[in-house]
Amino acid sequence: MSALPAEQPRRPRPLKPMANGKKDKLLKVEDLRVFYGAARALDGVSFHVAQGEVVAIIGSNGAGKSTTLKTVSGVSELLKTVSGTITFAGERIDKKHSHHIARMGMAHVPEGRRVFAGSSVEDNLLLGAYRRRRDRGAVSEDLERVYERFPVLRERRSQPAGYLSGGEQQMLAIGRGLMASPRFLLLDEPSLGLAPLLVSQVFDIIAGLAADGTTILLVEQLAHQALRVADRAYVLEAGAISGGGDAASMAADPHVREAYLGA
Amino acid sequence: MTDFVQILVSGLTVGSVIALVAFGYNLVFAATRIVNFAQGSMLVVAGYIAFAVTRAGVPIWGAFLISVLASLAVGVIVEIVAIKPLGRFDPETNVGWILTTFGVGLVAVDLIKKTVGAEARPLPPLASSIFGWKVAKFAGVAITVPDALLVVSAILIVIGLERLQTRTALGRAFRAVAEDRQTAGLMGINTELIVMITFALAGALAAIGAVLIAPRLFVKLDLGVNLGLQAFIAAVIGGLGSTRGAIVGGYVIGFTTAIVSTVTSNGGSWGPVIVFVVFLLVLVVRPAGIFGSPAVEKV
Amino acid sequence: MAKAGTKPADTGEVEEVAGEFGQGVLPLYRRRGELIRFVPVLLLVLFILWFGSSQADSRKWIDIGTEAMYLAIAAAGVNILLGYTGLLSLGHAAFFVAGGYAGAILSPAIGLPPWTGFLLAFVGSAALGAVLALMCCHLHGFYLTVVTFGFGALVPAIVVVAKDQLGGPAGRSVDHFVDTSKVPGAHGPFSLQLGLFYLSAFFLLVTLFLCWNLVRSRWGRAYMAIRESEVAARVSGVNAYRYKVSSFALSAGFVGLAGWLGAQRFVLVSSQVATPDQSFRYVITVVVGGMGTLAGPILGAFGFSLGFGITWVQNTFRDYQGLLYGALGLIAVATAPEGTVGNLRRYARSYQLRRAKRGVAAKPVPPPDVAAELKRPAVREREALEGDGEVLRVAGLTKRFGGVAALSDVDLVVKRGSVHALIGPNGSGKTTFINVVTGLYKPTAGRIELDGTSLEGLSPAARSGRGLARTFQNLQLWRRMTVLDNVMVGAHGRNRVGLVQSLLRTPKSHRVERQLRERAWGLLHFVGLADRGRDLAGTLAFADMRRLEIARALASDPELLLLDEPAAGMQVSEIHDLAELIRQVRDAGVTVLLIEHHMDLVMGLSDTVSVLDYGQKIAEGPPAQVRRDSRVVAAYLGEETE
Repeated sequence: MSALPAEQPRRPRPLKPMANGKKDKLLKVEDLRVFYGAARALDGVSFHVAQGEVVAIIGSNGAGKSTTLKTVSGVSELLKTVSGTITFAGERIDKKHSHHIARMGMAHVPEGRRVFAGSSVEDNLLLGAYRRRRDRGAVSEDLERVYERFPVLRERRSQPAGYLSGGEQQMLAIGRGLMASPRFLLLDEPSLGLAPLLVSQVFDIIAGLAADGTTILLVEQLAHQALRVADRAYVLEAGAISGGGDAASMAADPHVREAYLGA
Repeated sequence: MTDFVQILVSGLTVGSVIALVAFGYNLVFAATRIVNFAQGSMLVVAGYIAFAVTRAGVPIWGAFLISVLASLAVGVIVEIVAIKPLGRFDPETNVGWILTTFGVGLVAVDLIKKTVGAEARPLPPLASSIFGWKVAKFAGVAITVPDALLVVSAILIVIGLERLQTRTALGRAFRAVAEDRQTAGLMGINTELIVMITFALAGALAAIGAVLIAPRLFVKLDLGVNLGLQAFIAAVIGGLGSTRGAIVGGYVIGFTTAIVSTVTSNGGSWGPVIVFVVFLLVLVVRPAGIFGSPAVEKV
Repeated sequence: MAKAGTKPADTGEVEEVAGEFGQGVLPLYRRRGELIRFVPVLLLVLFILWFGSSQADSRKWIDIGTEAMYLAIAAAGVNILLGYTGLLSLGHAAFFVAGGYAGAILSPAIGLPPWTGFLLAFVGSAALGAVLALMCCHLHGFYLTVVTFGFGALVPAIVVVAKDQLGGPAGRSVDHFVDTSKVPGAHGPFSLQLGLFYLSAFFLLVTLFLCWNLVRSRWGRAYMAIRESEVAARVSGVNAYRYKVSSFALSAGFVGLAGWLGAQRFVLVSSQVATPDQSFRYVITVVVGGMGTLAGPILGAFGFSLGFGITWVQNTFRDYQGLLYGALGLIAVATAPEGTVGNLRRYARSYQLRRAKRGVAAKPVPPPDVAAELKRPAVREREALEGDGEVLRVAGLTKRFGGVAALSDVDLVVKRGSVHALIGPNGSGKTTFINVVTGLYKPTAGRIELDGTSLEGLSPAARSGRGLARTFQNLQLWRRMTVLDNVMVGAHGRNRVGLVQSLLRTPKSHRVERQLRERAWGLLHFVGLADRGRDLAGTLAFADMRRLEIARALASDPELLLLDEPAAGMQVSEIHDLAELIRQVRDAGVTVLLIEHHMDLVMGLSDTVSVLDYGQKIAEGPPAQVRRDSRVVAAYLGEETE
């Protein structure tokens, strides 16, 4: 990567106002079951994310992490059947289309980045702000802010997104998500396909976003990185949640390692 | 010299006629990866609507506007009947849409036949004279105002469509939907609405084309078939999904036909053969066309 | 045509399987107790005889009947390409014209007697079909259809240009037509036309016979496999390109044959019928009748031809055929893609289901038993070579996509008779590895050797022939074929039968069929799916689908079986059974390379584990050792952060 984003500080454990120990649950998922045709992907998953929190779902491949995110954000896929309830900001969203959910303020940075390779970097970012496209002033301001956070994107603003390297595309995908000015950011395996150095940098960025107060739901295979930036985490194994807790204690938990490499 | 000018004029006008229809194919493909085989029929429908309106006494410019508006609806109808019922599908592998759009085209033409009749209808040109200038003669070749209007309009439309596709949010949305529908949905883009909009716009383009073309070619039933086929070939040669490709493809066919008919005695018959051969060559060697991006072969 | 839903009675012999696509004309070799399957053909023959005798005085109806017959032949041809192989051609009307020219004009012109015209019509059109195929079979889906469309438009344009030889748009009259008044059964005032009717009917029955044999042969199965999943067909030993070309040729041949008969009827060959509209009509006829069935095209063709004979229909729709076909096309594609025959079968099946629920069940037919040695995977005979302990040797394997290296200098050796696991986090290159080894991707660098010989440059089908087999992570089953057919195609490369032999169902092809069938039943017994053998693969439970893929892979008698995440999506108990199956496969002598995420499965089953990360091998050894390797832990969970 040519231009590195500014070094972000390690995310401090936040001092959150604990009014009666209750926080607003921005996202609530209950008993989610998902099948792709006859193959079972999720078997009764329940979790929640509170306003301002960073929650991570960790687990090995095939555990169902991406399926979880894609179901929350309403992505429709062939042969997918879903049962269970998903509540976002008080509204049931499990039957809604993804574009509707996106307009409610949820931004999903997809697995594998999925930038629009044929469009320019700037067009990709502008597409992220599609739901706010009429508010040109605000969109331009946010565009500037994204370019400040990721200077390399400014350098390559007119290049087709397909020409960017993996790390740059990841930054573009995150930038695109931020352009939606979301209340809730979903990050799907941000480390996928990135070299270890880039992975660190991407997670520094995520830590920065968290420090700004963005509510984030992150699914990630690399447990150590995820637990570094998260407040709480769940462990997903074979489509079901097998454990969870606050990030610090989970980082030391041997159960986490067993979930990946067997007992 | 006359021959050269004749070829030039003929190629430009015929090419522009074809390009005007090819834009419709291109727009729909650019957003949906579907070729709307009913495009030619939409042109004929629009022409007949314009004719009916002029017969009711409305001057041609009014008829033009009404036809364009009505054709927006026609486009939406085509989408609802031919595409919506298919649900979610990948256009590249699941080709039922070829049959449904083709079928809609056939149905539309026959409906016109049944209701209005099969005779060719004349349409007055949008402008038969500009400041009193009706026809220009250049090296023995006549250039009429409607012809000039054709060529100019085609060029203006190319510019307009390119601006739409590159500079507006809608154009960005088109490209996003064509490239990756799922992710486009994540941006908040209502992909089904986008598809409907492209068909509506294709209808409007068909109407514009019909009114510009009719003075030259009359509004008749097989106009849709012939022109539709040639325009499709033009769009493929130029590169499906590229506006520039549509006009370049149109000119390729226009000039090829003009050259062939001027050069050979049997011109009328050889023209189509050459065009089809070029078409097949392009498909076999570079299916993406001149300006298209080569598709990635999926394993 | 087909007696939907009936199961063959249990005769104790290894029987013909009533696959979903392929029910139709009975073999002329009768099976005891299956007389009921003769009925549809008998009905057709009776219909023909009745029609001929009752309409002998009506010139109009005789002509319509003749048209029904040869359109049914054309539809059967289109069905081979569209219904069975899954390729849409909008240019087939060109072959109708080509057949007319070749059979009715060219053939007599070179001195052959008129009645032999059908040969040149068939062969000439088939050759032309092969030409078209060579132009488009490397393309997929939409672009393939567009090429056929262009071709279909080119041919009549050429006819118009070649006025002198081919008669231009008006066509050429047929000077030497067949004297059909000599056909047995032809009599009465219109003996010529009636004779042509019977002649056409005869050719229809011949076509039906050939198509039936085709569908029941390895050629037909290969076509259907290509339709359902071309990549799976290729790795199972089917040279997809060659089969697609042959499918084009065959289908063009039948349409050409129909064209010859049409030329006899009109005593004229004209390119007017070679329009895209006409090609579209062929397709709609097949779709509305029922794609992928034997009865469908016949039903469709009869329906349209005879339907247009009805005066009311003719008066209403004569000038509006586009409306009729277009509307039917819309309805058929959107709501009833299975066509009439398909829907009839669905009703019959649901009727049977309802009866079963009420307790009136048909006796379930037990699967046939086969010799014990067929019930386990067979390992090929091979000469004892040096380096015999290694089945697969991969050296320096690198694969780049653009600038990204998915695999980087990977070395791997799989020992004969072992279960070797390949693990690694998401994106580490495991799928790329298996795709390169099986030949779906070309490596950027490196060597792959199976049994000591290099696999370089070999297609996936050829590698299957050398002893490599695989399953797919995302299941590439041929769902609309029966479970048994799936396994039979797996053995595609093991016995070869020529196309003509398959069409004519020679004793050799019959023998090979029986061998394939017995082998397939044996393998189904081995994986525990024998009682589902006659069901459609798409109706299996998920875990059973995985077993079926394994059975299919074993059918090619592989040296090395590559399993691509076989446990994905399975429940814990199913994974146990899977592990047991894999052990049995290994015990039978087949080496297994297992790509998997389920660590318990891997650790409990494998002899050696190799770990990939970012396209490079980072660890290798016995499972327990690998699991404790710090690099492996870091690859999966990320670097330890302070």
